[in-house]
Amino acid sequence: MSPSRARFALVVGGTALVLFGIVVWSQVMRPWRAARLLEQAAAADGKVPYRATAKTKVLYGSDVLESEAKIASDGDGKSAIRYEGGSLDGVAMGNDGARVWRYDPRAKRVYTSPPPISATSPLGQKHVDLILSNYRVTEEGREDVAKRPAYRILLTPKQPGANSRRLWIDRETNIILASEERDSQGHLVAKTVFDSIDYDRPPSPKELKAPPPQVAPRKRHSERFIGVKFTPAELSKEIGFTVRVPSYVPEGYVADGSYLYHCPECHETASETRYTNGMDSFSLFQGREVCDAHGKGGHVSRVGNRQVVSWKHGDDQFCVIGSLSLEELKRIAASLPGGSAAAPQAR
Amino acid sequence: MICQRATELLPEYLYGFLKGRQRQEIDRHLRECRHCQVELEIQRRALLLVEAVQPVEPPVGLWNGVRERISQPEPPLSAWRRWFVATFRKPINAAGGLAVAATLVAAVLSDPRPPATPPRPLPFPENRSAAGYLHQHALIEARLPLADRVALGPVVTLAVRQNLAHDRSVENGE
Repeated sequence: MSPSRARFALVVGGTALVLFGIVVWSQVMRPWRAARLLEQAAAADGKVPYRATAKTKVLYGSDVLESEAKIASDGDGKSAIRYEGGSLDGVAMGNDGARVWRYDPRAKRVYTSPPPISATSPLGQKHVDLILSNYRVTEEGREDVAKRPAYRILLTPKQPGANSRRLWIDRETNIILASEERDSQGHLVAKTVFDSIDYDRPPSPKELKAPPPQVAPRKRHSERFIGVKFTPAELSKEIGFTVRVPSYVPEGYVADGSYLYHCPECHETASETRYTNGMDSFSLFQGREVCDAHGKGGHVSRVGNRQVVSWKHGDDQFCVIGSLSLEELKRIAASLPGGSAAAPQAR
Repeated sequence: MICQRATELLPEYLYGFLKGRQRQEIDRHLRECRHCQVELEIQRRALLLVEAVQPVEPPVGLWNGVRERISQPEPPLSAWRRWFVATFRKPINAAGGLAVAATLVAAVLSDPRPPATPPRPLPFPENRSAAGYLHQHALIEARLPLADRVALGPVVTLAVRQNLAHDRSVENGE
C-alpha cells in the first residue's frame, strides 16, 4: 500500500471511529448516565439533611396557585414543608417516618396518610424501574439552582397522553432542587424551584413535628383498613359490592392494588383501585351514593390539576381521576360498565 | 385476528354495526394491539370531525348567477396577475415557488416555543366527592418516589377546603 493510501485509510478509519464513539456516547452512555442520576436522586430522597426555601406554582382548576414554602429534612426519613403567605399561610405537610401528616389551620385538623415509598425499598425500586421503562430519561445539561450546580434531566413519556417532567438534581447531594411537570400539550401543570438550600444546619426535631390539632378528628369506622392493599375480589367482600376494574389500561401502567377509601369529612366509603407508571397514577373510585352531583349522562371536569370522568351505572357511581390526557381517561371509562355512554357525552 | 382485517372492520365497529363474535374479536384485538388502538382513535376523531360539519343549503339563485358569470366575457387581467401567470406557468419557477412556500410552512410549524394559548378552563365541579377523590389521589401521588410534594400540598389543601365549603353550603341550604 502506498503511503498516500495508508494516510487516507488512517483518516477515514479515524473519522469512522470518532463518529462511532459519538453515536455510542449519545445513544447508550448519555441515557445510561441520566438513568443513574435519576436513581441516585430517588435514593437520596429523605436521606440528606437540609433546610430550604422554595417557590411553587401549580395549576388548580383554571387558576395558577403560587406559594412559598420552607422545607426541612433530617436525613433520617423525617421531613416537613411549611407554606407561608397567601391563603396557604400556616399549612404544613410532613413525614414523621410512619405516616404523612398534613395540617390546615383553617380546618384546625391534622390529616394523615401512609408514608412515602422509599426508593431503596423493594417496592420503591419497582417504581423506579417502572419510571425507567415508561420514560425516556435524557440529560439536558447543567444549570445552577439555589446557587448549587445541578444536572437538568428530562423525562419524556414513551406513551402518548402522559405528562413530562423536568428535574434539576444537585450534582453533589442528588437532592432535587427544582421540578417541573407539563401535560401532553406542553402546558405547565406544576413547578417548584428551591430559592436557597443549606446542608450545614440540620433541622431540630421541633421543626419536623406536626402541630397538635385543635379539633379532634372524626373517628373512622373502617380505620383499620386505611392503607391496606386488597385484591378487587377481597375488597368486594369487605365493601359489599363488586369492585370493577377497567379492561383498558394505558400502556406502561400496572395495577397498584385496591384500597378502601373513606372520606375524612362525610364518612362515605368507596373502593379505590390504583394504577401507576411509576411517576404518574390514576385511580378508579367506585361507590354508592357518593357522586351525587353527577347524573347518569356522564361528567368531565378538571379538579385541581387533574382530569376527572365520572358517571353513574345502576347503583354504582364511578369516578376516574388522574394526570393522563382526557382521551385516555375516557378510554378507561369506556372499558367499564356504563362508561362508554358517559365518555362520548363528556368530550 | 390480524391487523389488516381489524383495520378493515374498524369503521363498522365505530358505527356500532358489528355484533356478536366479530365485535368480541375486535374488542379482544384492540386490547392487545397498540397499532390498531391508535388507528381506531384516528378514525374516531375523523368521524367526530365529519359529524361536526353542518349541511349547508346553497343560497337561492346561486346556480343562475354562476351560469350568468360564465357566459360573460373574461375581464382583462391586472398587471400583477399577468406577471404571476407568466412567471409560474414555467414548471421550474412553479417548483421553486413551492419549495420556498414549503420551507416557510416548515419553519412556522417547527417553532419550538410552547403553545401560547393556555388550556381551555373546564368547569370546576360543585362536587364534594370529586374534590375528596382529588385529595386522596394527590396523597397517593405524594407517596411515589420523585414526586413534587411541595406542589401537591396546595392542591390537597384546597381540595379539602372545597369539600368543607360544600358541606357548609349544603348545611345552610344554599
